Amino acid sequence: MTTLTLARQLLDSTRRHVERSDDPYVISRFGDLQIRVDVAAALLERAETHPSPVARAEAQIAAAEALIAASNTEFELTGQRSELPSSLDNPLRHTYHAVGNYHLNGVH
Amino acid sequence: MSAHPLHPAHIIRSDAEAIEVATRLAERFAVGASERDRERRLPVAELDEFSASGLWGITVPKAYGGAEVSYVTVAEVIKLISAADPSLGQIPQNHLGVVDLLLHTASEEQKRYYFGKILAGYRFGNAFSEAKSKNAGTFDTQIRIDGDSAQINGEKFYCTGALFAHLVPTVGNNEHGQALIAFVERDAPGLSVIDSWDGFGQRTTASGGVTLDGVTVPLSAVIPAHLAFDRPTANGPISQIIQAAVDTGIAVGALEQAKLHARQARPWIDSQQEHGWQDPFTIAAIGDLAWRVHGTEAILAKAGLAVDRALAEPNEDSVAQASLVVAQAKVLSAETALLASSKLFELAGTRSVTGKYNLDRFWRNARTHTLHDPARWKYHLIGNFVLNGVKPARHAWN
Repeated sequence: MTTLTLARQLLDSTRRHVERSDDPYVISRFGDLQIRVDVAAALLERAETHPSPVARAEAQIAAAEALIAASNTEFELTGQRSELPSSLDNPLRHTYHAVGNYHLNGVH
Repeated sequence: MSAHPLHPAHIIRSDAEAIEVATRLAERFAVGASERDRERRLPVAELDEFSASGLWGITVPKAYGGAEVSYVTVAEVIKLISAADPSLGQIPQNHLGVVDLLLHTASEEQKRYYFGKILAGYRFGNAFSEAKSKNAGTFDTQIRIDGDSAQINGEKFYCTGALFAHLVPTVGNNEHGQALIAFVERDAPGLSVIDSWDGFGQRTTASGGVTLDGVTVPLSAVIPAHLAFDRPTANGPISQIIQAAVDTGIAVGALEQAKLHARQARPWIDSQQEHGWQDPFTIAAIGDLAWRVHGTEAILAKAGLAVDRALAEPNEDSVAQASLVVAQAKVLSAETALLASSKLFELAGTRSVTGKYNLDRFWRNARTHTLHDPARWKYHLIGNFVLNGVKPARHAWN
């Protein structure tokens, strides 16, 4: 399962758990998460229509950040945290470096 | 400023031509942007060049002789200009909103007349907001129709573009509390445009005051603007996408400067590197800024498509969808512009705060322009639809 699909699922299951709310802070958390998921989807689409290693890396970062935010929101609003696959094999911090090295130094 | 343009405008024929013209103009506008900001020198000559280029007429419908470009293109044009000089990017904001209001609420005769003026190079300013009314959506200004003319009395503020305009669209209520717009000629008796904008950002927008003291216009110069919100139209999302495009442009400009100046920074003593651009933390921070700016641009383009759909088929669902995607663009552009314009100093080091670079203009512009409407309520707008299925309220700020 892709990181973005997982983020979407967590957003959806958290939404179903909460059902509805009039609390402006709870409502806004869903707004924040939806933006993170949609920006990751938009960058993934861009990486597919204009493929390049750096475009793919940017989409990966966006999806990973959406997933972390979704997981935190799940814990905050439901008291539970779904287990996530380990990212140790593909550490995100080096993806930031790859993207930055391309944009700052022109290194592919 | 006279009520007529000096030269007739070029007419742009396609989306591609609009992007090409904007790219060329942005290069020219970038050259003097810092000096104009520093000296608060109003961009009179630049605006003449901007509107004569035809870019102020690209949203005029094809049926009236315009290019009727996609809002993906409109957003890209405003982004390109704003990356060079966001004051120049902001000035046509209300003009473009008014073009759409005419489309939705003007009579056939009015459309022919005003769309013709726009294609000829006339610039609309605005006298919409009021600093003293209860909130952004309420107006104390009155437009009273009497026979075949209308009289306007009131006091306006945040009137971006009015000082440079040929026509000043002015919002006021009729006796039933419905919002009308009167098109007032720039040299009309009773209309005073005051150069009173002294904000620390967007310094050359001349977003100051307008007073209307017994201004009289013919009835043919009045449109029932309230109709654009009584029923679902794309007008709210159109106003907002232009706002988001200005802020996206600021973010793009700030990222470019961050890269340029970070490349020139000295290596930090603990980094054991020869050059600042080898600093692993700087590199990762540029990576973080870059994906955020590109994500913002990608969502801005999505918002343009959603606006196009709402224009093609205006209904409750298409307009709500446009508001939702444009709200995402607003949130992302505001946050990214503020982040990039602040981070650039962190990555470029102390030498970057020297006055000669005037790099603080990016943050001053971002902070000022993003205050137009608060991002905190956009999270709420989106969340309320996601969680509760509630569609966004329809007004000029959604």
